[in-house]
Amino acid sequence: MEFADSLQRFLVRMTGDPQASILELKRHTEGFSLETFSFTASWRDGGEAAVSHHLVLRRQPAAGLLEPYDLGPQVTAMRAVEGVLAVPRVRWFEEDPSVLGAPFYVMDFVEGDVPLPVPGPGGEPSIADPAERDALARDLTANLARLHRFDWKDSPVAAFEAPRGVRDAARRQLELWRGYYERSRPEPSPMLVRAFRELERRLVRLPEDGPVCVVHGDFRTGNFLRQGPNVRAVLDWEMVHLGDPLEDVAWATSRLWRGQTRLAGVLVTCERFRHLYEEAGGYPVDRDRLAYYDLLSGVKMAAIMLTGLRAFADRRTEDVRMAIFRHQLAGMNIIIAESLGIVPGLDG
Amino acid sequence: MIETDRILDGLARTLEEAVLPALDSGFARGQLFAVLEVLGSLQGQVQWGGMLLENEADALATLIGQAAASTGGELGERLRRYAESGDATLADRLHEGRALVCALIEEGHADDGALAAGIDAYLANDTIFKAMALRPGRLAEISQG
Repeated sequence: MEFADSLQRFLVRMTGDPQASILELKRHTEGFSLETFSFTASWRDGGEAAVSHHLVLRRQPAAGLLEPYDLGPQVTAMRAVEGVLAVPRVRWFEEDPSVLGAPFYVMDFVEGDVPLPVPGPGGEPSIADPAERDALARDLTANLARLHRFDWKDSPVAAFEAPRGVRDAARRQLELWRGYYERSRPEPSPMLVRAFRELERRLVRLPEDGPVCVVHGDFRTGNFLRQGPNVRAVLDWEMVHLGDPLEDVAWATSRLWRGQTRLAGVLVTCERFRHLYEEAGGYPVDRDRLAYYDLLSGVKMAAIMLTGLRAFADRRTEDVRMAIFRHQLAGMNIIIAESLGIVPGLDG
Repeated sequence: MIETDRILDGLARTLEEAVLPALDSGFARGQLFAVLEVLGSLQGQVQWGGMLLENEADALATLIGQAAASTGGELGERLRRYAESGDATLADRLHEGRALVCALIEEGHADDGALAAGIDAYLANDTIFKAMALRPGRLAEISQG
């Protein structure tokens, strides 16, 4: 009740209508990172008739997978690319933690369903029709290409730290995720140390120059809303940054999101996904950079899991979903070992 | 990195604080209280991993024995001490053994050379054995409730 009352007071302040009200406030379980709530808000706009909007609130958690949190960059990016690709409109961003206990933002609710990167009960893709999956992948990759071609230098995103080129971008990501790994104070992990060593070796072989663009950072099945073959909104911008566009391509096609299928995001083959991305105007897919980010994808996911486990172990969160990462790390090690070439690729 | 007792405690808290208040059925509540009692009785009694960890410790001993014979310097000394410390606990053998493999990798022994194949074989076997123990994940149910 206290949360609902605080939210109602916030709505009054934002709309200027002392009678503004909220209905149907619900907490959602989707998303392992930010806390998500939906509600319907009604207010009078400038003394006119009351309007109702279905809204979504995303609040920074006390602790979790991507700590320390800063909602600023994702709000900046989502606002900057509104109209460029399918993204929810952010109405309000509140940084003051005293308002609702932690910083949060409110965005428009977007109709649609979220396909998950898991197969159906019989091992088949959850979207059964191959033509529908292909059409959806086409729209998804078109959105990704538009994001990558967005001219960020003339936008508020220009305030983000910009790498000097693709090698510097790769180095920054390596150091970022090594930092997450080290801060999680894990048991010694020979697999991750082996992967970090290999990434350093591959880094020096990457070209210095190359495109630097807005990278979503978590672009994949599970993080977008769709209606039929159309992407309605790309969600979960917590890891947005400036970097190499192929980082998103590698993440979206990583075995992390293939379920037990051979399909990128349980949609289309990886080769088809890359073809559609290039065809839609995305950057040419260079195999060395793709391989670098394919390996980094497994490392990044393991570092995220270890961060969540550390928060749970230290009792900074009671979200028991963090505990599943203890046994799931074995799956991450298989994916990393595949990328390293020390176990056979299970996808042939 | 995370004690089994912490996981058991987290499970019990979630059941008691998030699940129990939402249960209306008296039978379901009774079942849940029984689960909570069993979980409580496991505190301090459960060791994670069992045979998988014993197998890994054996593989580490073999690899480190091989490395001790061919590695010099301070790391070589640590490897030899490990190879001779047969009476350490399983937890200590795993922790120090993994730390030594990390040190070997950081010194470049997995890049190429005689030990590289042995290190990768240890990593591959250990990874495959542990992954075989995995059950299908329940991401859809966890996400959608």
